[in-house]
Amino acid sequence: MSWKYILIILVFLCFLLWGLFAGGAPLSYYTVLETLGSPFGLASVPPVYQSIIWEFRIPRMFTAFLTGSALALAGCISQSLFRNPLADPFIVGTSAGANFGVTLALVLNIIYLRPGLLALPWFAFLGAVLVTVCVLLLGRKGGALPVNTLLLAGIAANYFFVSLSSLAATLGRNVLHRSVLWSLEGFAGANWDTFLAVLPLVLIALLALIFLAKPLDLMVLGDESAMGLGLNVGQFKFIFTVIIGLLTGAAVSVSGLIGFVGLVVPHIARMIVGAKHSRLLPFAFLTGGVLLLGADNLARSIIPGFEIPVAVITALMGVPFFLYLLRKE
Amino acid sequence: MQSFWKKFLVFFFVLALLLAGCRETGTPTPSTPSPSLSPTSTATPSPNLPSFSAVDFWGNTIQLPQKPQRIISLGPSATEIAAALGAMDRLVGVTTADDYPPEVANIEKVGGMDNPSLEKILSLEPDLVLAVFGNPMTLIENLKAQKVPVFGLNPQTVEEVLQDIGKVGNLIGEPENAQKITLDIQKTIDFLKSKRTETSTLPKVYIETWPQEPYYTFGAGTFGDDLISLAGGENIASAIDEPYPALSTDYILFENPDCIVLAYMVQDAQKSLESRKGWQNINAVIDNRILVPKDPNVYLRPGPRIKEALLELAQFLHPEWFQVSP
Repeated sequence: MSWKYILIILVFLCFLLWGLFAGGAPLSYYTVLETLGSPFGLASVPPVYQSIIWEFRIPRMFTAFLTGSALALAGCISQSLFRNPLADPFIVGTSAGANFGVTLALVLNIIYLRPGLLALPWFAFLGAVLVTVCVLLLGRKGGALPVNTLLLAGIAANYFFVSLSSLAATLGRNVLHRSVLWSLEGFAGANWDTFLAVLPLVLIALLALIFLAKPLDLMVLGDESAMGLGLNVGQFKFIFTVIIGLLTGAAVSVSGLIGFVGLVVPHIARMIVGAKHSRLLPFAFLTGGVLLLGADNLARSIIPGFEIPVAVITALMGVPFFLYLLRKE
Repeated sequence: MQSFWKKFLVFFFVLALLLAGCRETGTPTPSTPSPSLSPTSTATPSPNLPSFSAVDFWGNTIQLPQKPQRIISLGPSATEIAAALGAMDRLVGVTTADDYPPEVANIEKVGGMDNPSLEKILSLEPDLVLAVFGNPMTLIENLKAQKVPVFGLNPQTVEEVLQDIGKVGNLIGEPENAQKITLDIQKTIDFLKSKRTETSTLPKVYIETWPQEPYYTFGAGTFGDDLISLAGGENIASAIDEPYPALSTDYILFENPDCIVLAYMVQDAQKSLESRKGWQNINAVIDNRILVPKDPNVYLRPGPRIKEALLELAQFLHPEWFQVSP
C-alpha cells in the first residue's frame, strides 16, 4: 500500500523540481539554485530573480497542485454521489455555476477591491452550490434521484448558467473589459494571494472529508441501501453538494474552466488504490494535484516565454481517457 | 465606475462648451464632424505635469525617477507610439503581435498580447511597461505588485490617440517628438476639414475588420468611427453604441454602404464580396468602390499611423480634395 504513496509523492517532488527550473524567464539551473538559497544568505542574486522564483513560480506550482487536488476530490464525490462514472463537476453543471458566480463578482466589480480576491472563490462557491441544489431538485423523481434525470438536469443547468454568464458578461462588458480573458488564463496570474484565497475552501472540504469517507462508501450503494444502513441520505446529499461546491468554487475561481481532471483522476486513483473512499480520497487528492502541476509545467515550458492555456493540455490528455471510459461502459 | 464618471463629466463639459460656442456664433459650423476634435484640445499633455510622468487610462499617475531606458510594450499600438517617438532603441520587449516598424522583429518577444509571460517580462528588468486593452488584468496587478511602473493605454477616439501620444511622449522623455507627431496628425485633420464644404457628399462607409459572419466593424465613439467622419464619410455603424459591434448581413444590406474598406489581407476583394449572398446589390459592390488598404493595420491600431489611414481613406472617398487646383 505505502509504496504507491511513496511513488506519487516522488512524482510530486520531481514535478516540483521540474517546475522550479521551467518557465518564461530564461534562468539557468545554477541561477535558480542560487535564488533558492538567497533568502538564507547562501547567495546573492538580483531581487527580480527572487520575485520570479519566490513570488511567482513557487506559489504558481502550489496553486496548480491545490486546484488539481480540488477538482479530483470534487470528481470523486460527484461520481459517488451521482453513482455515475462519467459524473464530474463539469457534467453536472457545478462548474458552470461557479463560473457564473465569478462572472457576477467581476461584473459587480468586487474583485478590484483589495479583499475582492479573497471573496472571489466564495462567489464561485455560492454559484456552484446554487446550481448543484437546482440540479438535485430538478433531477428528483418521486423522492429518488435517478442518474439519468440528474445528468439531464445537469446538462440543462450547464447550458442555462453558461448562457447567464455570457449574458452577464455582455451586459457588464464595460467593467469586464478590464478582466477579459480571465477564464482562459490558467495559472499565469497566480501568486501567493491567489493561493491563500483558495486555501481555506480546500482546507474546509478536506477537514469535512476526513469524517465523511464512510458515508460516501454507503452512498455508492444507492439511496435505499444507504437508508437501510441508517444513513440520512437527504442530509448527506446536501453536505456533499456543499463540499463539491467548495472544491469546484476554489478551482474555478483561480483558473477558470479546466476540464477532465475531475473526471479522469478518480478513475486512475480507483484503479490504483481501489474504491474505498478512505483510501481513494487522499490518493485522488495527490494524483489530481500532481497531474495538474505537471500539465501547468508543460503549459509554460513547451514554448519558453509563451503560455499555452492549461485547459488545452488537460483536455488533450483527458479526452482519450474519456473515450476509453465511454467504450468500456 | 470611476472612468465612467470621468467620461460622463468630460462629455457634459464638451457638450456645455459646444452649446456655448453655438450660441456665440449663431450656427454650428457644418465642417466640424465631431465636437471633441477641436484642434486646441489636442497634442499637449497637461502642461503642469513634471517630466517622465503621465496619468494613464486607469487614472493612475505614473512618475518615473528618470528617463526610462528599458521599455516593454504589450501591444502593437503602444509599440508604434513608442517607436514613432524615437524610443525604438529603448524597447527591450514586445509581443508576438508586433510587426511595425519592421525592426521590432529583432526585439525580444514576451508572448502574445493576451498571454504575455510575467517571468519573461520581469527577467528583462523593465523600467516601464506600456499595457494596452487586451492584456490580462492579473498580469498588470502582478507587475504593479513588483513595483514595475505600468502605464495603461486604451484610446477610444482620434483625440484620445493624440492625447496618449502626448502622454507617452512626456513619460519617456520625448515631449518634443510627441508635439511634432500630434501636430502633424492635427495638420492632416485640419487639411481635411478645410476641404470639406457644406455641399460635400458624405458617402456611407463600412469598414470591415473581420471577413466572416458576423462581420465586425467600428461603432460609435471609436477612432475608426472618427477616421470615417474626418475623411468625409458616414459610418454605417455610427448609431451603434458599442465599440466593436458584430454586424449581421441584413444590417449591412439595409444600410447599403457606398464604400467598403476591408481592413485585413484579402486576395480579390471584389470577387470575395460578390460571392457573398445578397451583397451584389450593395452600392459599393455594384460600383466597385472597395478599398483594400496598403496596410490594414493602420485602420486597426490606435497609434501614430492613423494619419496614413486618414489620408488613404480621404483620397479614396474624395479624390477631388487632393487635386491641385489649376
